[in-house]
Amino acid sequence: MHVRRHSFLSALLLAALSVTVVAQREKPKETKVLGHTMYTLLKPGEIPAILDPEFVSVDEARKVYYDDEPLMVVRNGEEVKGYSTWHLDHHEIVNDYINGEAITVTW
Amino acid sequence: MQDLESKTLWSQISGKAIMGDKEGSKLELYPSQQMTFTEFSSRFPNGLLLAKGTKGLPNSNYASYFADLTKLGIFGRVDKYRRLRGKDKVVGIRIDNQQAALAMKLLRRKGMVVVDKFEPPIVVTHNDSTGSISAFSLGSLPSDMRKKLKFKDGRIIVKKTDVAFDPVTGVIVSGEGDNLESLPFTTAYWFAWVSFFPDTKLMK
Repeated sequence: MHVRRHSFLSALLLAALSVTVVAQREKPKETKVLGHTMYTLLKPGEIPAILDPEFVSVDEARKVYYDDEPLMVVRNGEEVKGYSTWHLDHHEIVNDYINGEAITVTW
Repeated sequence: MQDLESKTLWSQISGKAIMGDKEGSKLELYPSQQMTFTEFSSRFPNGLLLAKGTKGLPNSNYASYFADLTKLGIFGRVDKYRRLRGKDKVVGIRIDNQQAALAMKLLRRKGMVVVDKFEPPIVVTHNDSTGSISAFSLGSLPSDMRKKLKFKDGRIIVKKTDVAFDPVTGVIVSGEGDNLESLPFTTAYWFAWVSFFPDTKLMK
């Protein structure tokens, strides 16, 4: 009986939370851009870009990279840099330099 | 994308400033390749990798979205795309005002595809086991060689010559000549690419 009651209360609580979540979700903001509709779902910075990236050697990376982890690779002269797209799922943008040239790596 | 200095909004796929002080400006595409960590570490043992702290999960955060063919972007639920399925992946190339898209299925099957829509023509390579994707201009090759390319034994070869190139870096590995120049490309779902570039040539 207690178990049933507890389940019911949990269900009520969940239902209440769901309503709250739905009620609080903002409608995407719509902006006209060059004749198209742009929907804004997140505020700038809510997916945090990497502004000051740090890099490790291949040997160091072996500790945290999977063998089949997919990378975007940029080369310029002797400099070669790899960016995990699994990691970029959380950031989407890296502000960086390659051989002194400013680049942004986006995913 | 938004730049923090001017607050201008930029399109990630086109590189154009679409709203703000820099509207009308365009970012230059930068050549890149794609490959797995194993391939990177064997090719570039002195290369650098973005530090990521912890190991994390062995897949993408978006794995369930990738696998769901009924979800096309955030709002799309109807696959209205004709030339390919909306969620089919393509390698998109833009040079000046011309575009081409190569279906990943084609690249998996062939390993190498020459696109002669562009002048000079380009070549796109893919190795499914190493995850590598690269694109190169054939501008450094004499014109009589551009129609003689073949993918053989993991190399781009020029038939009836001893000239061969590395398919990932474009470096000449046999014969005489210049390295192939790397080109920028975009991997995207067909629905996204064709929405931005509806007149794109598709190879599938």
